[in-house]
Amino acid sequence: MRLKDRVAIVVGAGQSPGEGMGNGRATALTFAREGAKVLCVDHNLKSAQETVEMIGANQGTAMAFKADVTKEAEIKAMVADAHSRWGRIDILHNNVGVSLSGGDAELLEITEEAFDRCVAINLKSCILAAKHVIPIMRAQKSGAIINISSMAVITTYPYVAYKATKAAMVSFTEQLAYQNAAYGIRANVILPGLMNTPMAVDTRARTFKKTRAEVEAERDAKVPLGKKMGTGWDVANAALFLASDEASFITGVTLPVDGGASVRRG
Amino acid sequence: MTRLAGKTALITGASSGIGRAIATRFLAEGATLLLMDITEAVVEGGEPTHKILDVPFFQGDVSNEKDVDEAVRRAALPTGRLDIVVNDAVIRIGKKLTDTSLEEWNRVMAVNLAGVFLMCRAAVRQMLTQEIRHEARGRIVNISSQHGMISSPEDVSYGTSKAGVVYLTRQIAADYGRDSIICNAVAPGKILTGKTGRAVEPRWLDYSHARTPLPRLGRSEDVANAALFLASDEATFITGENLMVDGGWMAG
Ligand SMILES: NC(=O)c1ccc[n+]([C@@H]2O[C@H](COP(=O)([O-])OP(=O)(O)OC[C@H]3O[C@@H](n4cnc5c(N)ncnc54)[C@H](O)[C@@H]3O)[C@@H](O)[C@H]2O)c1
Repeated sequence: MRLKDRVAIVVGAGQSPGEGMGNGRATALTFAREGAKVLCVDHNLKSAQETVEMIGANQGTAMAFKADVTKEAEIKAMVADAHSRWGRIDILHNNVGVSLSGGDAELLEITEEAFDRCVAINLKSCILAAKHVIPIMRAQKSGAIINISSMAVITTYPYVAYKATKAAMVSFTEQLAYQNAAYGIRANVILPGLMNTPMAVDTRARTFKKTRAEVEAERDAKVPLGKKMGTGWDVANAALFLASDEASFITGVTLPVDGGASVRRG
Repeated sequence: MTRLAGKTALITGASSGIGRAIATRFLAEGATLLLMDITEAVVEGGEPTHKILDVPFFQGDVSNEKDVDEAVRRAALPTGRLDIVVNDAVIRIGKKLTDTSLEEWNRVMAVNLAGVFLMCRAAVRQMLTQEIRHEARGRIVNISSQHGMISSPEDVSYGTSKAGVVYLTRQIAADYGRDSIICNAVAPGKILTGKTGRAVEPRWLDYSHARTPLPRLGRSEDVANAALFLASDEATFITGENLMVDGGWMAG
């Protein structure tokens, strides 16, 4: 087991309504399968609990924790819960993110309220989670932080808040890596491309009044590798690698998991 | 330890250093191996790698078209497939622009860049004849370098060749993604392979320590682990990428 006895916090371990496996749930399941104890954090407690039940069914160890990660007090409580429960924190995985479902829109349409909401959910959450976990990791002299950004950072993407916040996550992660390397803490960022997850596919189907199959076909066609979207497991496998000791010399990197979509731009 | 079970892998530059560590790791994960190198002598010393691992060895030069085609043919013989190619073979001249002769430049380009081109071409030709298994027809892992993205200190031909490898990786990924051929690179930072000489001169070690944010320099196993990840079924949606294994050097 590649994460035996590690303690992990997966933020955004539930998932949006829809079919299939989200990135956060797949990651929580993968970490637990490899021996980590996982705090499954979500503002939707029921969905986080579903993840915990799936882990329990495989003899893994996990707890659900309800937090709205746009509130610092709740982030603090989440970190304190994992720490007091299991005595350390080895992995922080920030998976929370919204675009359309947070009210994101093109420049001329976006409202101040929607923009602030997207910034709070996508960017503030990952920065404040790092703020509260870093002192613990520094004291341990070890830790791995994984932030989930998006291929939208590299390629064209129409909605402004998502693109801007996800790009900021990359810069933030690099700085986090640089300033905490001396403590043996690693920080890396994954850029998922076109994935077949409930957030990406079902949300678009609802928003644009299309069938799931139509949205799938449009997205599949844009992926160079085998003309097929990726799945939550692809992101989970990359996160597992970056979280494990196998990546102990890897920090500050940006790893696209996008089927080659960003290799071919435009 | 079965992350490469049932897979056939051809590794160039496998006698020494990082290539040797990759061969050792891949074997431990259940791969069937063919090692290729211009010599069985181990740069850092010791028994030949293929003897220690007890795997077949093909003595050949990656800059020679016939040798490369023959290596791919032999690698695919046992199972009819070549699932993984790792291009690791390299030479270094260690000279600045004004000190580099055309012959030196040409030899570095022949091994470090044309060698990768020849091997990728032979491998992709073979892979295109194979069926898709676990979402991939075949996989290529090229060992690039941070040098080529940042300047290679006083080694103009090496850095230029490595920049070419990163580009070649992207081009192959884009052109053959449709065929489910996965092509990525791993870019080591400063790795202590056990090699002596220029690699561990105090001025270069001081420079590397000063530039590497993590408290230690790299080990060959760090690169082998990254190559394993990209060669395994865990990475079926990653292609065209250049994964840094550099202790944070490029983030700093
Ligand atoms: N060591 C580092 O710090 C570092 C940093 C960045 C990148 N890299 C890359 O990692 C890879 C391995 O580096 P290393 O330090 O282990 O090198 P090394 O010199 O120890 O090993 C290179 C191997 O390539 C073989 N080789 C050379 N010419 C060949 C040819 N024409 N045909 C077949 N084989 C040939 C050599 O015999 C040797 O076994 C290289 O691609 C190198 O550019 C290493």
